[in-house]
Amino acid sequence: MRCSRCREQAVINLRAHRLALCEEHFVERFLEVVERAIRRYSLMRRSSRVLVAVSGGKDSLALWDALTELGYRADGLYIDLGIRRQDYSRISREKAERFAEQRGLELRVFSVQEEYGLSMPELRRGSREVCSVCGIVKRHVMNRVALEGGYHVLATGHNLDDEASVLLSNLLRWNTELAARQAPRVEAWHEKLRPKVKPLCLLTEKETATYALVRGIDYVSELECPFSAGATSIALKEALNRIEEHSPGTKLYFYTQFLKHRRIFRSEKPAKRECRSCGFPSAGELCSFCRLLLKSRLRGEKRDN
Amino acid sequence: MPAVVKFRGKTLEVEAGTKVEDVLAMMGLSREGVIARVGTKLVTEDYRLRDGETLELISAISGG
Ligand code: SF4
Ligand SMILES: [Zn+2]
Ligand SMILES: [Zn+2]
Repeated sequence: MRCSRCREQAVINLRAHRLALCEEHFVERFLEVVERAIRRYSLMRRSSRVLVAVSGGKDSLALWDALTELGYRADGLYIDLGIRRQDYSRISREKAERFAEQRGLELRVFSVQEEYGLSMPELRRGSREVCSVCGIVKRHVMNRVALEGGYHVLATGHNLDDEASVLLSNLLRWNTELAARQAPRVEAWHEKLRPKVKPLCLLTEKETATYALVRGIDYVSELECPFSAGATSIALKEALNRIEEHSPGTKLYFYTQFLKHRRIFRSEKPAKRECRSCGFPSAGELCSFCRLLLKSRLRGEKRDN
Repeated sequence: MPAVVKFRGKTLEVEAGTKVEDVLAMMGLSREGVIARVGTKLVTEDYRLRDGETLELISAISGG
């Protein structure tokens, strides 16, 4: 297959767009689409100070790389969760650090263990599912670092497949509350929060992986997280890819049309309460993160006695 | 000489001349979910494998 723009050998066939592209033109288009998403959904300004949450995986590193290429002022945040199984945290941290070093970018490393005396897996012991605890921890740390570091927006590497599969999951359950909150830009509804944006939301997972490979980014596969409970989300992604095989462009259409109709779903405005311990917005007296911390510490004291 | 296909630590042989899309169909993989690489070059699904070449299939999907 030949590049639709220059007739060189193509590296990817974008059936959804009837476009085959060589390396150079693929990268060019990838950056155009990131910029398009930023403008279309008013994700950030040229002057915004952006904090990119990086996991060491392909999506977040591709995002950081693309934002930098486009001239945005983006620093990275790596949250060291202290996952020792399969050396996961150490390896992914190294990938993030090496990426930053090679490109002369600023990476903030936040160690959960150093900061709170417990690793993420220790925090969840005996309680809920790892990934849900992990989500609470990451959200809290991202909010905290964004606020303390004076950033204007928080960017994550969610791609089209992530967004379309979450949307499908929400609709399969008619979870209208969650659907109402799904957006490329989630506004800050409290002064301590920053808007959360997803500049890769119009690019498929295959495109972000291809971008990472073509740009020579050394990444860790998210599948390697030893706790990955991504089975359901992978099944949904695979189902969408089957449909995509038959009708190229379905994923993009499904997601972008949803964004047009999103207003039909309503969500309750979150209560403007503040956590008594950390001061961040919370549904109850203590936020879910501080509750985790408290429970783990109580368990620790019981063991010591 | 056949061509070699590598995917998730497994290796299998296919006849030279086989197209990448045929390999994907044989393995039940969607072209949306994998990236095909021969040597250091990424290739599209119409690429025909030559004698002795190794096709590496890289999963593009991640969970979480
Ligand atoms: S797979 Fe689960 S535990 Fe592992 S990093 Fe992702 S959310 Fe955290
Ligand atoms: Zn070209
Ligand atoms: Zn709190």
